[in-house]
Formats: sequence, structure tokens, C-alpha cells
Amino acid sequence: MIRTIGKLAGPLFFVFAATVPLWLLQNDYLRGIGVRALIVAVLAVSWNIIGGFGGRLSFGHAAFFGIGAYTSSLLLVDHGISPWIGGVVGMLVAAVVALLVGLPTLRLRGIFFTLVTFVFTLILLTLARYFSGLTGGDVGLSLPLTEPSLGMMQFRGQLAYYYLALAVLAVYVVIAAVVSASSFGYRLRAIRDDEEVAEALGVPTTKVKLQGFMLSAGMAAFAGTLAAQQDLFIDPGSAFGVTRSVEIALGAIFGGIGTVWGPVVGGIALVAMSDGLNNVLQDVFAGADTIVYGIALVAVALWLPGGLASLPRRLGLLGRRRHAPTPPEASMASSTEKEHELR
Amino acid sequence: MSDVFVGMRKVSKSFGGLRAVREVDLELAEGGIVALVGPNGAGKSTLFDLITGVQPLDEGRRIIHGRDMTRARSHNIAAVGIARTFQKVRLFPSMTVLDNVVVGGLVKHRSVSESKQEGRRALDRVGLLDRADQSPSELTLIDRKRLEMARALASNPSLLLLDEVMTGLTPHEVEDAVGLIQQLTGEGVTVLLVEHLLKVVMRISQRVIVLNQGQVIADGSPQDVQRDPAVVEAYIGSAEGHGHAAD
Ligand SMILES: Nc1ncnc2c1ncn2[C@@H]1O[C@H](COP(=O)(O)OP(=O)(O)O)[C@@H](O)[C@H]1O
Ligand SMILES: [Mg+2]
Repeated sequence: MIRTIGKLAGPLFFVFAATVPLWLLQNDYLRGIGVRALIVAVLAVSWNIIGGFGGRLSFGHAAFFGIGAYTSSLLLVDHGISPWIGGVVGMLVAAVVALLVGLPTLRLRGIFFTLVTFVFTLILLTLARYFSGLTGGDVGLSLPLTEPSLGMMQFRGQLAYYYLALAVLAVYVVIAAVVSASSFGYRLRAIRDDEEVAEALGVPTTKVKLQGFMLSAGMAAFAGTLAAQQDLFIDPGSAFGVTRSVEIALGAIFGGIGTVWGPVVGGIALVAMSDGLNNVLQDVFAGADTIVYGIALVAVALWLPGGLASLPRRLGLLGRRRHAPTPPEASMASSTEKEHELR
Repeated sequence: MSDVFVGMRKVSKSFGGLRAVREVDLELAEGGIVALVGPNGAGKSTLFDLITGVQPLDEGRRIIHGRDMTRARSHNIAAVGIARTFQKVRLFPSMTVLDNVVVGGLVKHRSVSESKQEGRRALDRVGLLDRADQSPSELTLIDRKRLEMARALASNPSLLLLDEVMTGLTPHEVEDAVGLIQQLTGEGVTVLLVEHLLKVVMRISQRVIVLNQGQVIADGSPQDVQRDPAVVEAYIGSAEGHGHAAD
């Protein structure tokens, strides 16, 4: 019974999400927020491959979002290439960049990877501003208006973007579920829990981490294409901004790091909360939304380490968990403890 | 060299100024139970780390199945059939008991489902099959040691390194463990055993290697080793020094 509900929960979620524009998000403004929420969920699911399963926290996933956005946009603006093709090229570029960033950093332990991903995004931000001949610099890059068509990924009104983003999210959830159940997913989790032991059991840890990072980066890049097509505009700040990186990681952590559904729930909840609070609280006093938002995040971090997605189980609604994922921070701490004990 | 099963040639490892393993030569032939004994701090666990590549060698060479694997990483060494347990148990805390074992099986099996089958067999052998869906944190220390052994077994190793798996067991449980180890050697697995229970060790192993202060001080049949004056000396010396053989 519970198992059947569990199996149906995924399809039901997407059916439900498909009806949301019909009764909740009834105008283009609200639907635009809906698209943004879905894009953040797409990004959080992507981030979670290396961050959640692999336990390597990227603090610069905006880099790949931005690479995707600029790749497809430039191919469209300069060569009239469809964003579908540009998006796929962007994914490949992002994966290659992840390989180059990951090669020197993923071998190292601890916080180096997190730091380098952060700094790397700042470098891209600076480069995008500096090479204004190519990117339009801070003025930004406007995408040409074409006849609305699926082939050019351009529509009038937000509804079609909503369904497009929802479809991409559905594909990504399937990818995450397949990864999670595969030997690749097992190896990533083993690395997250104890890299040295994973190696001793035959896991080629450097290779697996690199593959995870490349997949994660490639997936995130397509969200950049989606966002650029939704706005028909990109600029360095929105593509490579620090807030974007924070949003991606927080979405996954907020919802439930290392789970298939957590990043979906977290990404959507995060945008709903920040945009919703923004609207409700802007008249009370400016910045109140940020405070409430911060408190909510801390509350989840303190009392719900499994994230929002673990709430039903915490409340006993879905029966016993098969395995309670420990947040990577916690398992990293435990493995350093072990190293200390050994000494 | 082509018929060498496992050969550690003049291997050394230091931690800062502490020479934990000094120029150790260790040849293992295929089959049987070999015991590695010595006082606390003698370098037994470190030698395990050197054989399995968990720690890089400072000096010396490592030969496995006739191949020079001196610079191999530990996943390569696992891939050629060497598995181990850790003295201080190291499980994957966020994964279930079965999933821990599945990771061990993946070195031999491509698919997760095959590895799960193998994993269940391994759990059954150590008596943990009914705990498959639990978290390792729900297990007692002894069961966690059993789980680590099952995880190693799931990889179908040709050489199994067991680091103090019997410590803390009741005499009855020790006999169970001995039974399992002997069964494994019957299946062709070579077992290298670090154990403090000298009586058990002398009874079940065909060869005993004694390590003291990072050096091999005796190597031979249990009877010969027990009579070796250097061994007697090392054990009495260490008892007086409260097991601190380190400098
Ligand atoms: N990672 C490490 N860092 C520093 N010293 C270590 C480390 N591992 C072992 N040692 C030291 O090396 C010596 C040998 O340790 P070990 O191999 O664990 O001995 P045994 O297993 O025989 O008790 C000890 O003095 C121990 O303190
Ligand atoms: Mg030891």
C-alpha cells in the first residue's frame, strides 16, 4: 500500500504541477514566478548529483547555468541556431569545463573544491563583463524575437515556458532516480560517506567524482538556456551571480540533500518563499522577507536535517525510511573524527 | 616474479619521525591462513594499509599476481582481488547494511542487482541477512565488524586481510569466526589475519609473521615462532612498556 503510494507519488506530483497554472498561477506574472521556481528546481536536481549523492558541495553552480545561457544565446544571436541545439552544445561545454575545474580540485579533500567552484564563478562573471564585445557586457544580451515555436523555444506568454520547464524537470527527476539506483549512485554515496574506504573497495574515486561533476554541470547548463529563452535576455550578473549559486545549493539542501525529490521540493519552496514573502512583506519593511527567509532556512537546517522532503516521514506519514541519508557535512565530520581517532 | 601472489619488497612507511614500518619483506603464497602478530603499535595495521594501497609506500615495491603495483591506487588493488577490514570499523553510515555490502560487490559485478544477490549471500554468511535494511548505526560493534567482513567478502577476494575481527568476541563467537575463515580458505581464499588471540592464531594458521617496532622479527610455522627467543623478548618487553613499542 505504502509502496504503491510511493511509486505513484512521482507521476502524481507532475500531474498536480501541470494543473497549477489553471487554478493558482492564473496570470503571466505568477506563471513567470512558477517558471523561475521550476528552473531553480531543475538546477537543484542537477547540483544534487555531485553535491547530494557525491557530497562535494559546489558553491559555484551558477557557472554552468551561465555557460549554458551564454552558449545557446550567442549561437542564437550570432548564427541563428535553435536554442535546442545551442542548449545541448552548452551542456557539452559545461561538462568539459567541469572536467577542467574538477581535475585539479576533486582530487583534493575538504573544502578546496567548494572554494574553487566559488572563485571560478567570480572569474567567469568578470570575464563576461570584460569581453563585452562578445557578451554585451553589463548592458546585457537581448535575444531576437522570432515567431513563437517549440523549435525555436520561444513562446508568447509564460504558460508554454511553464510546461517546458516542467517537462525538463520530469526528465531530470528520472535521471536522478536512475543515477541513485545505479552502481554510479552507489559509488557516489560511498565516496560521500568515506572516500578512503570507497577506494579500498575498488571505487575509482577521482573518476567517479569527475563523472558526477560533469553530469551535474551539463544538466545545470540547460537550465541556463531555459532561463535565457524565458527572459529573452541575459547579463553577466544574472548568469554568473553569487545569489544564483547560493540559491541552487540552498534549494537542494533545504529540500533534502542526496535524495531524488528533496531538490525538487526545496527549489520550488525556495522561490515560492522568497517571491511570496517579497510580495507580502515589502510593505511592512524592506528586507523583512530576507530575514524570514533566513530564519526558515536555519529552522530546516536545525530541526529537519533531512530537508523538507523528509517531513512526511518525520511525521510518520509514509512509514519507515529505508535509509536515512546523513547530510554530507555530517558524514565528512564523522570521517575526520575517525581519522583523529586513528592517530 | 611472474608467479608471485603478493610480494611486499623492503617497504617502509613513516609518520613524521615515527617509522611505523621499516624495510619489511613479505611474500605471500596463495592459499591458507597467515597470521600477522605483534604488540600494539608494531605496524600491523599500517602494513595492511601498505598492502592495500590505502597509504602510499615511502619506499619499496609492491608486487601482486606477478605485476609491479608499487604505484597503484587502492581501487586498482581491490580490483585484482584484495579486500580488507579496518581495525577501527569504517562503514558507510548513511547507507543501509545491504547497501554497504553492495558497494563491496560492485568491484566484481557490473549491475546493482547482481551485487545485491552477492551481498545477500555475504550477509547470510556472517549472520546479518535479517538486518539488511537497517542502518549500520543500529548494529552492535561486533555486528558492525561482521558487516565489514561481509562487505569484503562480497568482492569475492583472492586475498582477504582481516584486522582484529575477533577482538571482543565471546569464545563461542570466536569459534564461529574461525569456522567462517576456515571455510573461506577451503574455497581458495588466502587469509592474512591480524589477531591478538595468540592461542587461536597459533591453532588455525599455517604461518605466523611477527612484527615488532615496524620490523619482521620472526616468520615461520606456529611452532617455530613460539619458540623464537626474539618473539618472547618482544612480547615481554612490550608488556612492560604497556604495549608502546613505538619510539
Ligand atoms: N595515520 C597515522 N598517523 C600517525 N601515526 C600513525 C598513523 N597510523 C599509525 N601510526 C603510528 O604508527 C605506529 C604503528 O601503528 P599501527 O600500524 O596501527 O600498529 P598496530 O596495528 O600494529 O597496532 C603506531 O605508533 C601508530 O601510532
Ligand atoms: Mg592495528
